[in-house]
Amino acid sequence: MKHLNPVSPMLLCLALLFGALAPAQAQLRIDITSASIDPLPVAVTDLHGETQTTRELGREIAEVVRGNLSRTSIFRLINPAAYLEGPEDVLVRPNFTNWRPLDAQALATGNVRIESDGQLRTEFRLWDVFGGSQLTGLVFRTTPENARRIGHIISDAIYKRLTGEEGYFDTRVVYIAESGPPDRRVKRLAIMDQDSANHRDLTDGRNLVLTPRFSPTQQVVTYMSYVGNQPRVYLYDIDTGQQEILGDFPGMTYAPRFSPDGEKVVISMARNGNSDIYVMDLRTRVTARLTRHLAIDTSPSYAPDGDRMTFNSDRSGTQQIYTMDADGSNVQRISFGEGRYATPVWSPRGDLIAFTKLLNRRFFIGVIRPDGTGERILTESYLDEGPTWSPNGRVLMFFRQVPGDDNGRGGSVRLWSVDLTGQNLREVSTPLDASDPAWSPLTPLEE
Amino acid sequence: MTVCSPGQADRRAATSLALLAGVIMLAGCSTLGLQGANEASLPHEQALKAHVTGHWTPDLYSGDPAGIIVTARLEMNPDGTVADEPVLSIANNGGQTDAIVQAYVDSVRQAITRSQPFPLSADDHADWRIIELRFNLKEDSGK
Repeated sequence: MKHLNPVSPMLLCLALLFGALAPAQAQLRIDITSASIDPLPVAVTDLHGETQTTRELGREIAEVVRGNLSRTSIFRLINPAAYLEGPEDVLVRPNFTNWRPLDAQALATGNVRIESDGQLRTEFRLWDVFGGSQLTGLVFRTTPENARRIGHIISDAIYKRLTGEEGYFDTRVVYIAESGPPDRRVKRLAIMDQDSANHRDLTDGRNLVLTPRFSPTQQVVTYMSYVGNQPRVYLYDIDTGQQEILGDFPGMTYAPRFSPDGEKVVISMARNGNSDIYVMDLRTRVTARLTRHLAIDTSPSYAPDGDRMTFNSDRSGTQQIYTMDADGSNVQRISFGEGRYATPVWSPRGDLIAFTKLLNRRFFIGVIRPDGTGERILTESYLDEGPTWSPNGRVLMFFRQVPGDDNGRGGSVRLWSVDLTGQNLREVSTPLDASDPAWSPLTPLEE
Repeated sequence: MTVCSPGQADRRAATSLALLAGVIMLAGCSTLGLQGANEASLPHEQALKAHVTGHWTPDLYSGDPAGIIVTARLEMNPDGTVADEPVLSIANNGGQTDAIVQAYVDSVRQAITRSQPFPLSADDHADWRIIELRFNLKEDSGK
């Protein structure tokens, strides 16, 4: 955690002086202890361009930003049709008196141009409309093909400047794309940007794939696949398309997930009818057993500091959530509510664990503190399952199946997202049916 | 892709954070001075509290906002506008990051700006020539 810098002795003296005098002079003191929960009104103009090509790129970037911000519950995007100034008017500095009547608290503007080497140069500025000052600014140089990504990076910059927290827009989601009838379901590993753009399949569907999980440090995915009817855990390099088997174990391996440093993978392994949790060092390929219990221990997920992990087990008689130290010691049960709990996932912020809950034939997505307090249900439906956190821990994505026929078969399954507040529930668009999403970390930037 | 921040923006941000650091210590003093301060109780004070609250839109889920206290000292004109730049003191009791504190302080500045003119009677200007607004979200506020 980053702390503020210490102050000079002179500042301290001034502070003491002010501190002693200020309260005595105040004639009216009021405590403001609550706030409006309305989203923050923001305006995003198209980025200015001198040519038809750059104008179109500027519009494309702005539309990505507007789409990202409007899908959050934090911001309210002011309709561009109401803007009194266009991209060229705000090129140097907006006339803030034209934006205050719209109640825009922040205004994003910018400029794009193609340089002599073909590179796209993009400038972006965020303005405090009521304060009449610039809040932040960025300059990018990249190929025009990266226009959408620039939009995501600008969205993250706006999010961070206005909330103080990292954004989650320059990210991708891997998931299972499903097609075909229920008895011959084809499941492919697929990937897309978090806003559903740039969708592509990573596997061809010949082998069943399940439970993809993103590496927190590389563009690598681990997942389970049935190849030759043998369930195994694989690693897939998204950039190169190379995949490799994680190891040849005597039993069935499943439910893989990376450690926060990306150097280990924790998995479930079924041997002799019993399922326990193991961890593999990706460099040495040495495996260590973490749980030893006759019950089914599965779905392990590390805390962000890597010191602890959560998993689910039926060792108490019903499926519940547990935590333990990363070496398998100090096991503690943390869920005690009604129903069964599964798929626990530790938040990147470390303060919560998301889970799937089954009670009275209904499924729920919820969160609970790592000490077992504060259980909160966010969604409920016929079948909600498999939560994954946005990298800033503010949004959860999961999959929801709707019932088909009377036996509950054949219903469509889609991805959904919900804010940590339980608000802003929305479907995530995919070309086909989709399940088991896994959110990537923020994509690294080249400085 | 190459990314950089304009140098001027960087310098401004650095200055801003230095100022934040300065007022942190200040907050420790003024917070002590506020002990025993009366909660708004008169009708016009309650109206002002509701008015400012309605214009304050911090991000309620960034870090632990309950640990941040921003006190704004305002010199007021009779027409309900603020006469000079608000003097802000900031206490970061929860050890929040600079970025979270900065966003919180910005939200306070914007709330003060958007709340003007304050709904107060000019006849009583002598009673509210100096106003101190203490912005401190309670843990359950708005969530």
